[in-house]
Amino acid sequence: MDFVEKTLREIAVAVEMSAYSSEFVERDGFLQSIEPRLKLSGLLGLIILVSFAEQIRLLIFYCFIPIIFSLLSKIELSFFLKRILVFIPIFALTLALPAIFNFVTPGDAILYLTKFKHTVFSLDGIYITKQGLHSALFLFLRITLSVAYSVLIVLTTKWTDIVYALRAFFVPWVVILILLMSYRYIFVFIRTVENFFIAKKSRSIKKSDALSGYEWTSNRIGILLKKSFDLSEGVYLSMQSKGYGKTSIITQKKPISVNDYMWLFSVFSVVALSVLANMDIL
Amino acid sequence: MSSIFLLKGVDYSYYGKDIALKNISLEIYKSECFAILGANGSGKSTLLKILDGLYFPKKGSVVAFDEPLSEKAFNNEGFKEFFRKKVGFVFQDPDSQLFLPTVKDEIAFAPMQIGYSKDKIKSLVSEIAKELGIEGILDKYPFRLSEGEKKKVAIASVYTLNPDVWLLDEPIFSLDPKSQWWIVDFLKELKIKKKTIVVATHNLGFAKMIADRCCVLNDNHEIAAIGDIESVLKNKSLLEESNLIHQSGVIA
Repeated sequence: MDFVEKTLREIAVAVEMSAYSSEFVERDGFLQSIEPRLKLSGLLGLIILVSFAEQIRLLIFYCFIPIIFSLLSKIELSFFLKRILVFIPIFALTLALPAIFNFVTPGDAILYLTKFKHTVFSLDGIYITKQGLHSALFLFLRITLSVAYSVLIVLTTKWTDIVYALRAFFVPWVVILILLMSYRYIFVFIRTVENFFIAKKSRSIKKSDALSGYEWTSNRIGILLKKSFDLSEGVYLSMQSKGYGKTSIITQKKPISVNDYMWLFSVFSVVALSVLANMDIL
Repeated sequence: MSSIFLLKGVDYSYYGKDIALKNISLEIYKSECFAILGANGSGKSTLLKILDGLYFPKKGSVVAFDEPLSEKAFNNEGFKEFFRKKVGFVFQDPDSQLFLPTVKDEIAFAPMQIGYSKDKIKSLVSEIAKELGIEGILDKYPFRLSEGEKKKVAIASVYTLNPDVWLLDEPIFSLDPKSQWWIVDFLKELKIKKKTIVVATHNLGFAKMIADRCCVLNDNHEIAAIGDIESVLKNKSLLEESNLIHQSGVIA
Protein backbone atom coordinates (compact mmCIF):
# COMPACT_ATOMS: atom_id res chain seq x y z
CA MET A 1 0.00 0.00 0.00
CA ASP A 2 1.58 3.34 -1.00
CA PHE A 3 1.32 6.58 0.91
CA VAL A 4 -1.79 7.74 -0.98
CA GLU A 5 -3.82 4.76 0.13
CA LYS A 6 -2.45 4.95 3.66
CA THR A 7 -3.35 8.63 3.91
CA LEU A 8 -6.79 8.01 2.43
CA ARG A 9 -7.43 5.30 4.95
CA GLU A 10 -6.30 7.51 7.83
CA ILE A 11 -8.57 10.36 6.69
CA ALA A 12 -11.51 7.98 6.41
CA VAL A 13 -10.79 6.61 9.89
CA ALA A 14 -10.57 10.14 11.36
CA VAL A 15 -13.90 11.15 9.83
CA GLU A 16 -15.52 7.86 10.82
CA MET A 17 -14.27 8.20 14.41
CA SER A 18 -15.66 11.69 14.61
CA ALA A 19 -19.01 10.57 13.21
CA TYR A 20 -19.15 7.54 15.49
CA SER A 21 -18.32 9.63 18.56
CA SER A 22 -21.11 12.06 17.75
CA GLU A 23 -23.47 9.07 17.64
CA PHE A 24 -22.90 8.54 21.40
CA VAL A 25 -23.70 12.20 22.06
CA GLU A 26 -27.16 11.67 20.55
CA ARG A 27 -27.96 8.74 22.85
CA ASP A 28 -30.41 9.14 25.69
CA GLY A 29 -27.94 8.41 28.50
CA PHE A 30 -27.15 9.84 31.92
CA LEU A 31 -24.06 11.92 31.16
CA GLN A 32 -25.58 13.15 27.90
CA SER A 33 -28.39 14.75 29.92
CA ILE A 34 -26.07 16.68 32.25
CA GLU A 35 -25.65 20.42 31.81
CA PRO A 36 -22.25 20.74 29.99
CA ARG A 37 -20.68 23.18 32.47
CA LEU A 38 -21.62 20.98 35.44
CA LYS A 39 -20.41 17.89 33.62
CA LEU A 40 -17.09 19.46 32.64
CA SER A 41 -16.52 20.84 36.15
CA GLY A 42 -17.44 17.50 37.77
CA LEU A 43 -15.24 15.39 35.52
CA LEU A 44 -12.34 17.83 35.87
CA GLY A 45 -12.83 17.62 39.64
CA LEU A 46 -12.62 13.82 39.43
CA ILE A 47 -9.43 14.05 37.34
CA ILE A 48 -7.88 16.31 40.00
CA LEU A 49 -9.00 13.89 42.70
CA VAL A 50 -7.30 11.02 40.88
CA SER A 51 -4.09 13.04 40.60
CA PHE A 52 -4.00 13.60 44.36
CA ALA A 53 -4.98 10.06 45.42
CA GLU A 54 -2.28 8.53 47.57
CA GLN A 55 -3.81 5.14 48.30
CA ILE A 56 -3.86 2.30 45.85
CA ARG A 57 -7.25 1.07 47.14
CA LEU A 58 -8.70 4.51 46.31
CA LEU A 59 -7.35 4.39 42.77
CA ILE A 60 -8.82 0.93 42.30
CA PHE A 61 -12.15 2.24 43.63
CA TYR A 62 -11.96 5.14 41.13
CA CYS A 63 -11.60 2.62 38.29
CA PHE A 64 -15.21 1.57 38.74
CA ILE A 65 -16.57 5.13 38.42
CA PRO A 66 -15.95 5.69 34.67
CA ILE A 67 -17.21 2.16 33.95
CA ILE A 68 -20.46 2.84 35.82
CA PHE A 69 -20.91 6.20 34.08
CA SER A 70 -20.19 4.70 30.66
CA LEU A 71 -22.86 2.04 31.25
CA LEU A 72 -25.34 4.66 32.48
CA SER A 73 -24.55 6.73 29.40
CA LYS A 74 -25.29 3.82 27.05
CA ILE A 75 -21.72 3.54 25.76
CA GLU A 76 -20.73 -0.01 24.92
CA LEU A 77 -18.16 -1.12 27.50
CA SER A 78 -15.98 -2.83 24.88
CA PHE A 79 -15.80 0.37 22.81
CA PHE A 80 -15.11 2.49 25.90
CA LEU A 81 -12.33 0.24 27.20
CA LYS A 82 -10.78 -0.07 23.75
CA ARG A 83 -10.78 3.72 23.43
CA ILE A 84 -9.03 4.08 26.80
CA LEU A 85 -6.72 1.13 26.88
CA VAL A 86 -5.35 0.90 23.37
CA PHE A 87 -2.83 3.75 23.10
CA ILE A 88 -2.37 6.13 25.97
CA PRO A 89 -1.97 3.64 28.85
CA ILE A 90 0.44 1.62 26.69
CA PHE A 91 2.42 4.81 26.35
CA ALA A 92 2.07 5.38 30.11
CA LEU A 93 3.21 1.82 30.78
CA THR A 94 6.30 2.41 28.65
CA LEU A 95 7.03 5.54 30.66
CA ALA A 96 6.39 3.85 33.98
CA LEU A 97 8.29 0.64 33.17
CA PRO A 98 11.82 1.90 34.02
CA ALA A 99 10.51 3.08 37.39
CA ILE A 100 9.94 -0.48 38.58
CA PHE A 101 13.68 -1.28 38.51
CA ASN A 102 16.11 -0.63 41.32
CA PHE A 103 18.35 1.66 39.22
CA VAL A 104 15.47 4.19 39.03
CA THR A 105 13.60 3.46 42.24
CA PRO A 106 15.76 1.84 44.89
CA GLY A 107 13.95 -0.31 47.45
CA ASP A 108 13.04 -3.79 48.57
CA ALA A 109 13.70 -6.44 45.94
CA ILE A 110 10.72 -8.46 44.70
CA LEU A 111 12.23 -10.17 41.68
CA TYR A 112 15.87 -10.32 40.56
CA LEU A 113 16.37 -10.20 36.79
CA THR A 114 20.14 -10.50 37.03
CA LYS A 115 22.81 -10.57 39.77
CA PHE A 116 26.25 -9.03 39.19
CA LYS A 117 29.41 -10.74 40.41
CA HIS A 118 30.75 -7.34 41.48
CA THR A 119 28.84 -4.18 42.36
CA VAL A 120 28.50 -1.76 39.45
CA PHE A 121 27.64 1.82 40.38
CA SER A 122 26.77 0.46 43.82
CA LEU A 123 24.24 -1.98 42.30
CA ASP A 124 24.57 -5.69 42.99
CA GLY A 125 22.11 -6.59 40.24
CA ILE A 126 18.98 -5.53 38.41
CA TYR A 127 15.74 -6.24 40.15
CA ILE A 128 12.16 -5.06 40.47
CA THR A 129 11.51 -3.15 43.66
CA LYS A 130 8.36 -3.01 45.73
CA GLN A 131 8.53 0.80 45.84
CA GLY A 132 9.16 0.99 42.08
CA LEU A 133 6.23 -1.27 41.29
CA HIS A 134 4.09 0.84 43.57
CA SER A 135 4.98 4.15 41.91
CA ALA A 136 4.66 2.64 38.38
CA LEU A 137 1.22 1.32 39.24
CA PHE A 138 0.25 4.73 40.60
CA LEU A 139 1.42 6.49 37.44
CA PHE A 140 -0.32 3.97 35.19
CA LEU A 141 -3.63 4.13 37.06
CA ARG A 142 -3.62 7.91 37.32
CA ILE A 143 -3.02 8.35 33.59
CA THR A 144 -5.57 5.67 32.65
CA LEU A 145 -8.24 7.17 34.90
CA SER A 146 -7.58 10.71 33.67
CA VAL A 147 -7.90 9.44 30.10
CA ALA A 148 -11.09 7.57 31.01
CA TYR A 149 -12.77 10.70 32.39
CA SER A 150 -11.60 12.77 29.41
CA VAL A 151 -13.00 10.15 27.01
CA LEU A 152 -16.31 10.28 28.89
CA ILE A 153 -16.45 14.06 28.34
CA VAL A 154 -15.67 13.71 24.65
CA LEU A 155 -18.07 10.83 24.01
CA THR A 156 -21.05 12.32 25.81
CA THR A 157 -20.73 16.01 25.01
CA LYS A 158 -20.95 17.88 21.75
CA TRP A 159 -17.70 19.59 20.94
CA THR A 160 -19.57 22.90 20.74
CA ASP A 161 -21.03 22.38 24.23
CA ILE A 162 -17.56 21.63 25.60
CA VAL A 163 -16.31 24.88 24.10
CA TYR A 164 -19.29 26.86 25.46
CA ALA A 165 -18.69 25.27 28.87
CA LEU A 166 -15.18 26.74 28.88
CA ARG A 167 -16.87 30.07 29.50
CA ALA A 168 -17.52 28.83 33.05
CA PHE A 169 -13.73 28.79 33.46
CA PHE A 170 -13.48 32.44 32.32
CA VAL A 171 -12.05 31.64 28.87
CA PRO A 172 -12.49 34.83 26.76
CA TRP A 173 -15.24 34.87 24.13
CA VAL A 174 -12.83 35.51 21.31
CA VAL A 175 -10.96 32.27 22.16
CA ILE A 176 -14.27 30.38 22.25
CA LEU A 177 -15.26 31.80 18.86
CA ILE A 178 -11.90 30.81 17.36
CA LEU A 179 -12.25 27.26 18.75
CA LEU A 180 -15.79 26.96 17.37
CA MET A 181 -14.70 28.17 13.95
CA SER A 182 -11.67 25.86 13.95
CA TYR A 183 -13.94 22.90 14.56
CA ARG A 184 -16.17 24.01 11.70
CA TYR A 185 -13.31 24.26 9.20
CA ILE A 186 -11.36 21.16 10.20
CA PHE A 187 -13.98 19.14 8.34
CA VAL A 188 -13.90 21.39 5.29
CA PHE A 189 -10.13 20.86 5.06
CA ILE A 190 -10.38 17.13 5.73
CA ARG A 191 -12.74 16.88 2.75
CA THR A 192 -10.36 18.97 0.62
CA VAL A 193 -7.38 16.78 1.53
CA GLU A 194 -9.44 13.66 0.90
CA ASN A 195 -10.34 14.99 -2.55
CA PHE A 196 -6.66 15.71 -3.31
CA PHE A 197 -5.78 12.10 -2.60
CA ILE A 198 -8.77 10.64 -4.40
CA ALA A 199 -7.96 12.75 -7.49
CA LYS A 200 -4.35 11.54 -7.40
CA LYS A 201 -5.40 7.95 -6.95
CA SER A 202 -7.83 8.16 -9.88
CA ARG A 203 -4.97 9.13 -12.20
CA SER A 204 -2.18 7.00 -10.71
CA ILE A 205 -1.22 4.04 -12.85
CA LYS A 206 2.21 3.12 -11.52
CA LYS A 207 3.13 3.01 -7.89
CA SER A 208 4.80 6.32 -7.02
CA ASP A 209 8.24 6.37 -5.42
CA ALA A 210 8.80 8.05 -2.07
CA LEU A 211 10.55 11.14 -3.47
CA SER A 212 7.80 12.03 -5.95
CA GLY A 213 5.29 11.29 -3.21
CA TYR A 214 6.97 13.83 -0.92
CA GLU A 215 7.15 16.38 -3.75
CA TRP A 216 3.46 15.96 -4.48
CA THR A 217 2.54 16.17 -0.79
CA SER A 218 4.51 19.39 -0.25
CA ASN A 219 2.85 20.88 -3.33
CA ARG A 220 -0.60 19.97 -1.98
CA ILE A 221 0.24 21.45 1.41
CA GLY A 222 0.99 24.72 -0.39
CA ILE A 223 -2.31 24.54 -2.27
CA LEU A 224 -4.17 23.81 0.96
CA LEU A 225 -2.54 26.82 2.59
CA LYS A 226 -3.59 29.01 -0.33
CA LYS A 227 -7.14 27.65 -0.13
CA SER A 228 -7.22 28.30 3.60
CA PHE A 229 -6.13 31.93 3.03
CA ASP A 230 -8.87 32.39 0.43
CA LEU A 231 -11.43 30.85 2.75
CA SER A 232 -10.32 32.98 5.68
CA GLU A 233 -10.79 36.08 3.52
CA GLY A 234 -14.32 34.91 2.65
CA VAL A 235 -15.12 34.16 6.28
CA TYR A 236 -13.81 37.54 7.41
CA LEU A 237 -15.95 39.34 4.82
CA SER A 238 -18.97 37.26 5.79
CA MET A 239 -18.47 38.13 9.46
CA GLN A 240 -18.19 41.80 8.56
CA SER A 241 -21.32 41.55 6.45
CA LYS A 242 -23.24 40.10 9.39
CA GLY A 243 -22.16 43.00 11.56
CA TYR A 244 -19.36 41.32 13.53
CA GLY A 245 -17.95 43.90 15.89
CA LYS A 246 -17.29 44.38 19.52
CA THR A 247 -19.57 41.62 20.73
CA SER A 248 -19.93 38.01 19.73
CA ILE A 249 -21.79 36.54 22.63
CA ILE A 250 -23.11 33.11 21.93
CA THR A 251 -24.74 31.24 24.77
CA GLN A 252 -26.49 27.93 24.93
CA LYS A 253 -27.72 27.23 28.42
CA LYS A 254 -29.51 24.05 29.26
CA PRO A 255 -32.03 24.13 32.13
CA ILE A 256 -30.92 22.33 35.31
CA SER A 257 -32.65 18.95 35.69
CA VAL A 258 -32.96 16.21 38.33
CA ASN A 259 -30.09 14.38 36.63
CA ASP A 260 -27.86 17.40 37.18
CA TYR A 261 -28.53 17.24 40.95
CA MET A 262 -27.85 13.49 40.87
CA TRP A 263 -24.60 14.15 39.05
CA LEU A 264 -23.50 16.77 41.59
CA PHE A 265 -24.45 14.41 44.42
CA SER A 266 -22.40 11.59 42.87
CA VAL A 267 -19.32 13.79 42.43
CA PHE A 268 -19.56 15.18 45.98
CA SER A 269 -20.03 11.66 47.36
CA VAL A 270 -16.86 10.47 45.64
CA VAL A 271 -14.97 13.50 46.94
CA ALA A 272 -16.32 12.94 50.48
CA LEU A 273 -15.41 9.24 50.42
CA SER A 274 -11.91 10.10 49.23
CA VAL A 275 -11.43 12.64 52.00
CA LEU A 276 -12.64 10.13 54.62
CA ALA A 277 -10.38 7.43 53.19
CA ASN A 278 -7.39 9.78 53.24
CA MET A 279 -8.16 10.57 56.88
CA ASP A 280 -8.19 6.81 57.54
CA ILE A 281 -11.80 7.06 58.74
CA LEU A 282 -12.88 4.55 56.09
CA MET B 1 -38.02 56.06 -7.64
CA SER B 2 -35.60 56.61 -4.79
CA SER B 3 -32.05 55.46 -5.14
CA ILE B 4 -30.47 52.87 -2.84
CA PHE B 5 -27.00 52.66 -4.39
CA LEU B 6 -25.27 55.18 -6.62
CA LEU B 7 -21.86 54.34 -8.06
CA LYS B 8 -19.79 56.84 -10.05
CA GLY B 9 -16.58 55.95 -11.90
CA VAL B 10 -15.68 53.09 -9.55
CA ASP B 11 -12.35 51.32 -10.10
CA TYR B 12 -11.15 48.36 -8.05
CA SER B 13 -8.05 46.23 -8.30
CA TYR B 14 -6.58 43.44 -6.19
CA TYR B 15 -3.05 44.00 -4.88
CA GLY B 16 -2.90 47.16 -6.97
CA LYS B 17 -2.44 45.27 -10.24
CA ASP B 18 -5.24 42.75 -10.92
CA ILE B 19 -8.04 44.92 -12.23
CA ALA B 20 -11.47 43.74 -11.12
CA LEU B 21 -13.66 46.73 -11.98
CA LYS B 22 -13.11 49.67 -14.29
CA ASN B 23 -15.10 52.90 -14.40
CA ILE B 24 -18.35 51.46 -13.05
CA SER B 25 -21.26 53.89 -12.85
CA LEU B 26 -24.74 52.68 -12.04
CA GLU B 27 -27.76 53.38 -9.91
CA ILE B 28 -29.92 50.81 -8.14
CA TYR B 29 -33.40 51.84 -7.09
CA LYS B 30 -35.56 50.92 -4.15
CA SER B 31 -37.71 47.76 -4.50
CA GLU B 32 -36.23 46.73 -7.84
CA CYS B 33 -34.53 43.46 -8.69
CA PHE B 34 -31.24 44.23 -10.40
CA ALA B 35 -29.05 41.57 -12.03
CA ILE B 36 -25.31 41.93 -12.49
CA LEU B 37 -24.52 39.74 -15.48
CA GLY B 38 -21.04 38.69 -16.49
CA ALA B 39 -18.79 35.78 -17.31
CA ASN B 40 -16.47 34.19 -14.74
CA GLY B 41 -13.86 36.68 -13.52
CA SER B 42 -15.67 39.73 -14.90
CA GLY B 43 -15.92 41.35 -11.44
CA LYS B 44 -19.52 40.53 -10.37
CA SER B 45 -18.59 39.33 -6.88
CA THR B 46 -16.25 42.27 -6.34
CA LEU B 47 -19.04 44.65 -7.29
CA LEU B 48 -21.38 43.01 -4.77
CA LYS B 49 -18.71 43.30 -2.07
CA ILE B 50 -18.35 47.00 -2.85
CA LEU B 51 -22.14 47.41 -2.56
CA ASP B 52 -22.00 45.67 0.83
CA GLY B 53 -19.23 47.97 2.10
CA LEU B 54 -16.77 45.11 2.38
CA TYR B 55 -14.38 46.51 -0.22
CA PHE B 56 -13.84 50.18 -0.88
CA PRO B 57 -13.06 51.46 -4.39
CA LYS B 58 -9.60 52.76 -5.25
CA LYS B 59 -11.22 55.40 -7.42
CA GLY B 60 -14.74 56.78 -7.78
CA SER B 61 -17.55 57.03 -5.26
CA VAL B 62 -20.25 54.82 -3.80
CA VAL B 63 -23.32 56.23 -2.12
CA ALA B 64 -25.80 54.06 -0.23
CA PHE B 65 -28.97 55.37 1.39
CA ASP B 66 -27.72 58.88 0.56
CA GLU B 67 -24.55 58.34 2.61
CA PRO B 68 -21.09 57.84 1.12
CA LEU B 69 -19.79 54.29 1.68
CA SER B 70 -16.25 54.51 2.96
CA GLU B 71 -14.06 53.01 5.67
CA LYS B 72 -14.60 56.21 7.65
CA ALA B 73 -18.38 55.76 7.46
CA PHE B 74 -18.08 52.22 8.87
CA ASN B 75 -15.97 53.47 11.76
CA ASN B 76 -19.17 55.13 12.95
CA GLU B 77 -20.91 52.37 14.97
CA GLY B 78 -24.34 53.94 14.38
CA PHE B 79 -23.98 53.88 10.61
CA LYS B 80 -22.44 50.41 10.67
CA GLU B 81 -25.40 48.99 12.59
CA PHE B 82 -27.89 50.82 10.36
CA PHE B 83 -26.21 49.54 7.18
CA ARG B 84 -25.75 45.93 8.38
CA LYS B 85 -29.41 45.79 9.37
CA LYS B 86 -30.49 47.22 6.01
CA VAL B 87 -28.27 45.14 3.71
CA GLY B 88 -27.85 41.35 3.73
CA PHE B 89 -25.32 39.45 1.63
CA VAL B 90 -25.65 35.80 0.60
CA PHE B 91 -22.19 34.61 -0.50
CA GLN B 92 -21.61 32.25 -3.40
CA ASP B 93 -19.65 29.77 -1.28
CA PRO B 94 -21.72 28.69 1.74
CA ASP B 95 -18.54 27.43 3.41
CA SER B 96 -17.38 31.04 3.67
CA GLN B 97 -20.69 32.21 4.99
CA LEU B 98 -21.40 29.42 7.45
CA PHE B 99 -18.48 29.73 9.85
CA LEU B 100 -20.03 28.44 13.06
CA PRO B 101 -20.39 24.83 14.16
CA THR B 102 -24.17 24.43 14.13
CA VAL B 103 -27.02 25.75 12.01
CA LYS B 104 -28.63 27.29 15.10
CA ASP B 105 -25.46 29.25 15.97
CA GLU B 106 -25.22 30.44 12.41
CA ILE B 107 -28.75 31.81 12.26
CA ALA B 108 -28.35 33.45 15.68
CA PHE B 109 -25.05 35.17 14.86
CA ALA B 110 -26.28 38.37 13.16
CA PRO B 111 -29.06 39.17 15.70
CA MET B 112 -26.51 38.65 18.49
CA GLN B 113 -24.21 41.20 16.91
CA ILE B 114 -27.07 43.66 16.83
CA GLY B 115 -27.69 42.96 20.53
CA TYR B 116 -31.16 41.40 20.47
CA SER B 117 -32.30 39.77 23.71
CA LYS B 118 -31.77 36.02 24.13
CA ASP B 119 -35.51 35.33 24.13
CA LYS B 120 -36.00 37.35 20.96
CA ILE B 121 -33.13 35.52 19.26
CA LYS B 122 -34.51 32.14 20.30
CA SER B 123 -37.98 32.85 18.95
CA LEU B 124 -36.51 34.47 15.82
CA VAL B 125 -34.35 31.41 15.07
CA SER B 126 -37.26 28.97 15.37
CA GLU B 127 -39.59 31.29 13.42
CA ILE B 128 -37.14 31.69 10.51
CA ALA B 129 -36.26 27.98 10.55
CA LYS B 130 -39.93 27.08 10.33
CA GLU B 131 -40.58 29.54 7.54
CA LEU B 132 -37.66 28.24 5.48
CA GLY B 133 -38.35 24.59 6.30
CA ILE B 134 -35.04 23.94 8.07
CA GLU B 135 -36.31 23.36 11.62
CA GLY B 136 -35.18 19.72 11.41
CA ILE B 137 -31.51 20.62 10.88
CA LEU B 138 -31.04 23.33 13.51
CA ASP B 139 -28.67 21.22 15.61
CA LYS B 140 -26.78 19.81 12.64
CA TYR B 141 -23.21 20.69 11.72
CA PRO B 142 -22.91 22.57 8.39
CA PHE B 143 -20.41 20.02 7.04
CA ARG B 144 -23.13 17.38 7.19
CA LEU B 145 -25.57 19.43 5.05
CA SER B 146 -26.24 19.15 1.34
CA GLU B 147 -25.43 22.13 -0.88
CA GLY B 148 -29.13 23.01 -1.08
CA GLU B 149 -29.47 22.93 2.71
CA LYS B 150 -26.32 25.02 3.11
CA LYS B 151 -27.76 27.64 0.79
CA LYS B 152 -31.02 27.71 2.76
CA VAL B 153 -29.07 28.15 6.00
CA ALA B 154 -26.98 30.93 4.41
CA ILE B 155 -30.23 32.67 3.42
CA ALA B 156 -31.70 32.08 6.89
CA SER B 157 -28.61 33.63 8.49
CA VAL B 158 -29.32 36.82 6.55
CA TYR B 159 -33.12 36.62 6.84
CA THR B 160 -32.97 36.97 10.66
CA LEU B 161 -32.36 40.70 10.29
CA ASN B 162 -35.05 40.99 7.60
CA PRO B 163 -32.93 43.37 5.50
CA ASP B 164 -34.48 45.74 2.99
CA VAL B 165 -31.69 45.07 0.51
CA TRP B 166 -30.56 41.58 -0.51
CA LEU B 167 -27.26 41.00 -2.30
CA LEU B 168 -26.92 37.47 -3.68
CA ASP B 169 -23.82 36.10 -5.38
CA GLU B 170 -24.62 33.29 -7.86
CA PRO B 171 -27.51 32.06 -5.70
CA ILE B 172 -28.43 29.04 -7.83
CA PHE B 173 -24.92 27.99 -8.77
CA SER B 174 -24.21 24.26 -8.16
CA LEU B 175 -27.71 23.56 -6.84
CA ASP B 176 -30.09 20.82 -7.94
CA PRO B 177 -33.31 21.86 -9.75
CA LYS B 178 -35.45 21.57 -6.61
CA SER B 179 -33.15 23.90 -4.66
CA GLN B 180 -32.88 26.26 -7.65
CA TRP B 181 -36.66 26.60 -7.79
CA TRP B 182 -36.79 27.10 -4.05
CA ILE B 183 -34.43 30.07 -4.47
CA VAL B 184 -36.49 31.46 -7.36
CA ASP B 185 -39.69 31.22 -5.30
CA PHE B 186 -37.96 32.79 -2.31
CA LEU B 187 -36.74 35.73 -4.39
CA LYS B 188 -40.21 36.19 -5.89
CA GLU B 189 -41.59 36.41 -2.36
CA LEU B 190 -38.99 39.04 -1.52
CA LYS B 191 -40.10 40.97 -4.58
CA ILE B 192 -43.71 40.83 -3.40
CA LYS B 193 -42.50 42.25 -0.08
CA LYS B 194 -40.95 45.15 -2.04
CA LYS B 195 -37.38 44.29 -1.07
CA THR B 196 -34.48 45.54 -3.16
CA ILE B 197 -32.59 42.62 -4.69
CA VAL B 198 -29.21 42.63 -6.41
CA VAL B 199 -28.17 39.31 -7.94
CA ALA B 200 -24.84 38.48 -9.55
CA THR B 201 -25.21 35.63 -12.04
CA HIS B 202 -24.17 34.33 -15.42
CA ASN B 203 -27.38 32.33 -15.74
CA LEU B 204 -29.47 34.36 -18.16
CA GLY B 205 -32.60 32.24 -17.76
CA PHE B 206 -32.55 32.81 -14.02
CA ALA B 207 -31.93 36.54 -14.46
CA LYS B 208 -34.84 36.81 -16.90
CA MET B 209 -37.11 35.10 -14.40
CA ILE B 210 -36.49 37.48 -11.52
CA ALA B 211 -34.76 40.70 -12.62
CA ASP B 212 -36.34 44.00 -13.67
CA ARG B 213 -33.10 45.63 -14.82
CA CYS B 214 -29.55 44.48 -15.33
CA CYS B 215 -26.04 45.47 -16.27
CA VAL B 216 -23.51 43.41 -18.21
CA LEU B 217 -19.86 43.33 -17.18
CA ASN B 218 -17.51 42.48 -20.01
CA ASP B 219 -14.07 40.85 -20.00
CA ASN B 220 -12.48 44.29 -19.55
CA HIS B 221 -14.35 44.61 -16.24
CA GLU B 222 -16.41 47.50 -17.58
CA ILE B 223 -20.15 47.90 -17.93
CA ALA B 224 -20.97 46.92 -21.49
CA ALA B 225 -24.70 47.58 -21.18
CA ILE B 226 -27.27 48.63 -18.65
CA GLY B 227 -31.05 48.68 -18.97
CA ASP B 228 -34.22 46.69 -18.56
CA ILE B 229 -33.67 42.96 -18.65
CA GLU B 230 -35.74 42.24 -21.78
CA SER B 231 -33.89 44.68 -23.98
CA VAL B 232 -30.41 43.69 -22.75
CA LEU B 233 -31.09 39.99 -23.23
CA LYS B 234 -32.28 40.65 -26.79
CA ASN B 235 -28.84 41.97 -27.73
CA LYS B 236 -27.25 38.66 -28.74
CA SER B 237 -24.00 40.13 -30.09
CA LEU B 238 -23.41 41.94 -26.80
CA LEU B 239 -24.07 38.76 -24.80
CA GLU B 240 -21.76 36.80 -27.07
CA GLU B 241 -18.97 39.40 -26.78
CA SER B 242 -19.37 39.31 -23.01
CA ASN B 243 -19.09 35.51 -22.94
CA LEU B 244 -22.60 35.08 -21.59
CA ILE B 245 -23.76 33.06 -24.56
CA HIS B 246 -21.90 31.03 -27.14
CA GLN B 247 -22.63 30.59 -30.82
CA SER B 248 -23.13 26.88 -30.13
CA GLY B 249 -25.76 27.77 -27.55
CA VAL B 250 -25.94 27.62 -23.76
CA ILE B 251 -25.87 24.29 -21.95
CA ALA B 252 -28.82 24.40 -19.56
